[in-house]
Amino acid sequence: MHQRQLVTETGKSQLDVYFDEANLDFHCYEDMDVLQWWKRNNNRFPDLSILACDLLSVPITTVASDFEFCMGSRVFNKYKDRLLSKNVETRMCTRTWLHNFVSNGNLCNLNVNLYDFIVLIATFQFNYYPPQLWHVDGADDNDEDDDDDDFEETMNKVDGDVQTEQASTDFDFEDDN
Amino acid sequence: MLQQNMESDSEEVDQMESRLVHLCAFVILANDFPFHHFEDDAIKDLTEFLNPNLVMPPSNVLEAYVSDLYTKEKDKLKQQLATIPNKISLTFELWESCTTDTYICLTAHFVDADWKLNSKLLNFYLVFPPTGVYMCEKMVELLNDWGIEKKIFSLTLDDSSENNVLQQQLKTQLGLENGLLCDGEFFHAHCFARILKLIVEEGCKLVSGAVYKIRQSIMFVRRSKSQKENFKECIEKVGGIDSSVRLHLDMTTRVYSAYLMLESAVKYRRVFESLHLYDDNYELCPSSEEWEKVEKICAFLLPFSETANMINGATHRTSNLYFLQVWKVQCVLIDSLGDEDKDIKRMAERMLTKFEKYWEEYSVVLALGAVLDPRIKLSTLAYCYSKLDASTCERKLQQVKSKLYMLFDKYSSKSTSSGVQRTIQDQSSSVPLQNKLKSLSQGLFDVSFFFFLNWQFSFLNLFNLIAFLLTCEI
Repeated sequence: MHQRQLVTETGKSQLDVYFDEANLDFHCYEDMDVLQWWKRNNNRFPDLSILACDLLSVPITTVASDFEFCMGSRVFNKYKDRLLSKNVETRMCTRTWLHNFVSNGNLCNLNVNLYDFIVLIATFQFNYYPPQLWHVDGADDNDEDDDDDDFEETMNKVDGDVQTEQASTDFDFEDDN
Repeated sequence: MLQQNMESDSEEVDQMESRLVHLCAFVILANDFPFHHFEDDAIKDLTEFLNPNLVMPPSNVLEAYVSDLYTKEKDKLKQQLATIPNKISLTFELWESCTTDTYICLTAHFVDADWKLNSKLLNFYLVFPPTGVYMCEKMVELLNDWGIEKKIFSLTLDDSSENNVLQQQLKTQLGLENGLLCDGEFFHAHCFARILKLIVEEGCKLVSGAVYKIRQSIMFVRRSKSQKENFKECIEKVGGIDSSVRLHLDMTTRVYSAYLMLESAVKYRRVFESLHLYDDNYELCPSSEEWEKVEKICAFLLPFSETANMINGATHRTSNLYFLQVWKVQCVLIDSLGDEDKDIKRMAERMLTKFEKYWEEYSVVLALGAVLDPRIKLSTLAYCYSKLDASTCERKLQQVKSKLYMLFDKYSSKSTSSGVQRTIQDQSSSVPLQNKLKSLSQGLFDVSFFFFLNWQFSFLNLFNLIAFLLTCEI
């Protein structure tokens, strides 16, 4: 009920009103997120809640504890000379940013574990073949021949019956034309 | 019909391709693999086994994809920083690579639109030479790039001469552009973890001889399989040892590793002693006096280690919680001044000097955060101050109050400067506070304080809580 009390009616500043109110009981609000309290009381203390946010976000330590930062030391041992400085920044930042994001729907966040990934590759439709783009880049000389084969198959595959298991192995190129 | 099939299928193929690139990029980022990870022979064998027709994206595609992701996410973050009404606090760290290149690691802490505390890494930037002046130049550039040069509330960094130069220059620079509140009075924040580190180091220094012996002992036990077997036998012979605790070795890079080493070794004290009798090759067992001293130091350092864990592990890392933690550290130090052991007493004195230097400069910002916790406010703050030193309590409280009113003045759109004066003189709000103080000084332990302490130490076991309450009350 006190939430509805309007600051302007009392003639006191928001800070005075805040101090006049009794403390919340620690026992009842043991695990309270203070910022959420200020959010709920934002309409009563519009200015003070902004000040509160600013003061409450001052960090006490520079030692970053989030696990993603642990990577820092590893970067420096593992890739010391091989990464350009720009590259390090791209990796570190993207990694930490994506950790908090769940990007478009079913695409999972950064916690992809290797097992899930393997399952994905294994279940990856046998009917789809390497994209054109990668051939153009031609990063791997050894595989170029294989890639070309795959590519032709891809083109063939498109028309094939994607549902049958046989499609991937017993496909006949001539059928297409 | 055929044509349609072709189109929809190739669309699908494209989708799967981009999904694969996306997932590969995420695997690389999440595990910090090199970009050519999927070109590795072993990985190739694996993917070929799983799906013989699949060719994994090459490194340049992945690199381009990650770089594209970076740009997109950076724009998103920039947008977010621009739209929040709040100010941003920064932490500044220097990382050194094996090739002794120095990198600036700049992190922003802010409250987002959902009123959640966010920490985002802004830059990880190679800087050379790492001098204060140059770093300041770079910092201004980076802040301008992010468009937040007028939105900075504070900067937390370690104490070092270069960092101090940086901090002062940056303060002046941002101040010139009118980007700081109250002429930057709250701009500079110190790193408390560093103070804790200094304190723990000071403690370990006192037993440096024993630290050396314990390190050698652990290395001796770990040296070979037969040594490990011997040690295990000794554990069984001695009996009653909780062998689930691992023996830690200290590492120079980790802050609390020396403490962790001592703590783990103390638990095996009797095993080491029995091994000493049994194995002639084992010479460096600490003497019983040394063991006792180590035990004492460990008990003394326990609250500091817990504070460190709390700082790292808190779910809501808002500054309101820190004040109480820092206050607790100070309480323990002040209590230790009366310790009967001369060494501990001297150590506590040295630690307190280090601590007070920090406290003098930084306590106000911490206290302001605490006051804005509706569970703490001024009354709990008064209690904390009076516990430390009753004579300066009122003055400190007034100081915090006036600082808060001064700051609030900047935030409130309607207030006038006379309004600030009036509110500070207004004593009505501090009457219940004085009553409370009175009751506390009479030794009545407020029930709510019990709950408050209970809450605060919920991560400790009951024994620790009781022990602390006792020391607190005396």
